[in-house]
Amino acid sequence: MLISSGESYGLELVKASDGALKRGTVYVLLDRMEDKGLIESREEEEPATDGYVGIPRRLYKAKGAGVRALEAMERDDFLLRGAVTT
Amino acid sequence: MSNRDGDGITITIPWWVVYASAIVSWAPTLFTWVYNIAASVFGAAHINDGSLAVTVLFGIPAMLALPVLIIRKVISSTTGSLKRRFADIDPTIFDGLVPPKLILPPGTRILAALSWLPVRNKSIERVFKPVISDMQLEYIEAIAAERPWLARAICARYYVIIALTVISFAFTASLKRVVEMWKLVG
Repeated sequence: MLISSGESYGLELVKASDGALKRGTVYVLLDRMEDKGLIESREEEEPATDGYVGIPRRLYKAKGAGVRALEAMERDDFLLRGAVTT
Repeated sequence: MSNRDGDGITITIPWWVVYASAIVSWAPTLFTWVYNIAASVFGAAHINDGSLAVTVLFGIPAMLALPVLIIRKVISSTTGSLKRRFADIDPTIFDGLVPPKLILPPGTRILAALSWLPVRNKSIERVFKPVISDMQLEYIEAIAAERPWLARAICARYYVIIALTVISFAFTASLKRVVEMWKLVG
């Protein structure tokens, strides 16, 4: 999702995942992915709503290592499926 | 220690008094317990626990007062910072209007309370702040749509979500520690 959409907010990822991601765990997961160097994040500069002065949201973006890790996972999955079916 | 206002007398207990009374009143009991455990191990004579009355009289009230003081400290710190932020505003601009009411965005006090947890600032920034930011955004959207009950429901829902976030964060953090220790030992 992060690769296809460029930069996304955590809440956007939750809504786009159709229930696969939960609001209570998504940021813990993203924090771990950031620790592993798969994604990077930054705080948004402009507030999301006009006149709103809340805490700025956090934008997440996949890094090169994250893209390569996903490709490797998909390749391994393909190879594993091939091994199981043959 | 105390001051008199229009409604009565307010007594403020300093932090060090509470800590000192807790330490002083619990120290004899703790010493007795540790001594008796050591005496059991080495086969020496036990000492009678005469310090129990001191603990019941002073230690338990002092320990019960601590959470109350922590909550009051959190509330006063957030309210104090807001007062300082709006200190430059001329109060006469509100003359003739409905008395102003300062409303904190939802989650402000939760964030202040979370800062008391033994968690790194980086984790607060990356894990807990975004959840509260989402909460505030959805709350503001509900208020803008003139749906106050939905806004309250969103708040209630996010309190549960924040609790779940704390639990899942604590679980993954402790799991990470165990793996790190396992690697060190192995």
